[in-house]
Amino acid sequence: MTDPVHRPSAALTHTVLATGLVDADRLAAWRADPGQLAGIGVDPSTMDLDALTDFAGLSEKVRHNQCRHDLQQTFRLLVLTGLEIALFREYTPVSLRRRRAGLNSTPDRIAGLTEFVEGWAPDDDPERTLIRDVLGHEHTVVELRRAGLTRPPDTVAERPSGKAVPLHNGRIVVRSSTCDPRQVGLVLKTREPDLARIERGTWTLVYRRGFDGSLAMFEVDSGVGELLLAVDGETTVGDLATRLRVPPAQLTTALDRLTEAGLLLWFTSGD
Amino acid sequence: MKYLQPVRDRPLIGLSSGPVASAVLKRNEGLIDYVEMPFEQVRHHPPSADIQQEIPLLLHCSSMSVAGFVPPPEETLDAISGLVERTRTPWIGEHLAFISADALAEEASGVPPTELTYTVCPQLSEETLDRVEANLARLRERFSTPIILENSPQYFAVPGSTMPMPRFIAETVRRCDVDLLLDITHFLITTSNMGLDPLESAAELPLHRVVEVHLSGMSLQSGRWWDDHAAPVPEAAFEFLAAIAGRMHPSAVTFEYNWAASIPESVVVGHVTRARELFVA
Repeated sequence: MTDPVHRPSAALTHTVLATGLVDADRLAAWRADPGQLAGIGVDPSTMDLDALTDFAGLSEKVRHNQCRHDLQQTFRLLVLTGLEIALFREYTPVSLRRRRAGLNSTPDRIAGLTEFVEGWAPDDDPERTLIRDVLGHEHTVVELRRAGLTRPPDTVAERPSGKAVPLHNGRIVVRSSTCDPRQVGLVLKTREPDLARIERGTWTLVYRRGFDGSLAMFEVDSGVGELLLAVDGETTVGDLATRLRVPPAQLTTALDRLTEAGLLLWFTSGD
Repeated sequence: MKYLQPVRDRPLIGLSSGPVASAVLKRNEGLIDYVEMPFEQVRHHPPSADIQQEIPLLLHCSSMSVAGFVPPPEETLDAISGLVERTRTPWIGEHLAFISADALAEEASGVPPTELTYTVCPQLSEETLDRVEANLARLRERFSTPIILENSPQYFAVPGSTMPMPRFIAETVRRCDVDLLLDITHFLITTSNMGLDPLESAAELPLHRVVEVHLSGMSLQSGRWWDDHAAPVPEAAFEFLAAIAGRMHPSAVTFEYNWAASIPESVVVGHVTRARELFVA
């Protein structure tokens, strides 16, 4: 209980709490210099600014409830690792700036959180990189589901003769991940998930949204991932071979395999 | 339209509005008696209330700032009143908290009050009790149905407080002659974070005034317990409820899973069944 001589009024207390919750910059300033609170009538020793910052994180988390449908694995992992409040507390100032810029839709919020977590998770932190990569997976799925695609005219499903130009068959995203989201999903489905069962390593994952609306994800070798990233719908096989420093015949074979797998189309322009 | 009518011998069981409630309703006809509907949800998305064609609604509210010093806008109160009439809710559950506050004095000139999106535990003091009493007297005149007050979760000591949460709740009931919405999870969060014994603290509560009970999840993060409506009710909450159930006769028990995109249906069905058994016994 607060010393009655120095007790702030209830109205002032509410003002300070509310200000701290909505004004991340002000709260950061108070944390850097708690003496500023004394200047507005609140004894700094009575205000747990660290807890208030956490509470702001909880409020920010609640603002992201609309994202839970699309980020079910991410939110589950955040709870299981105990990092939910820690993440949202750090994200609060960034999120506030995004909201002020009008980025309030569910896709906006998922994109903002994904972008933030990229920097929040150092490569040597296994828990944070797990969250980063699962969030990146779920964000990719959301973005691909939203994508409106039309197959370009003059494309065929077999490599034409001449100066052929390959393009992605639909929208393709290649991601590197420290976990396999499918295996993570299996672990999280259990009643009491054991995060130690999540396998870690390096996966190159390819996501494809087809022109027919289908969505698929599969694992490939890193070299295949690089090749898919190099295909831009403008560069000929010959130029790709030069850029990637591989013999044209070897590249052609690899592109034909990707075509058979349904990942590539070809412009018919030929010569 | 369906309307909620409390019964004498047992509490009705409900779920807060959201994806979990929708999924449960689809596959478990008759499992729950009502859906608890936040006023703010209907205001933002009026079709939310259409579910009343299938199941009665119980109105919940976060907009009245009962423990605050900035009154809610008249149009907000008008809108709540309209929804009270439409739903015929037997009471309005509102938080013993504030959701808006004046801007800092150095900025207050011409600056609108700070509006929050989440209710906040007020300063626990005589001054706040006076305010709650005055606010409630004014608010009660606006509605044709009673307001009952829900205890806030307390995450940290609020500056200027002169009493612990249990006494603040008890004093509110005594001074305002108001019934309670006892959020079991909020209460456990408060006692855990403030170093209080839950059963000793419950002894201070006027449990005979509890009309509705809330149950939801809670999670330990960064060294504190936090409200978590996306997590199942923990065993500790059921055990605590069982320990005090004999001292109260609530008319309704609401499971709040409204943050969750999904919760295993078997868990929800099990919890609803457990709550029914608890009060039958």
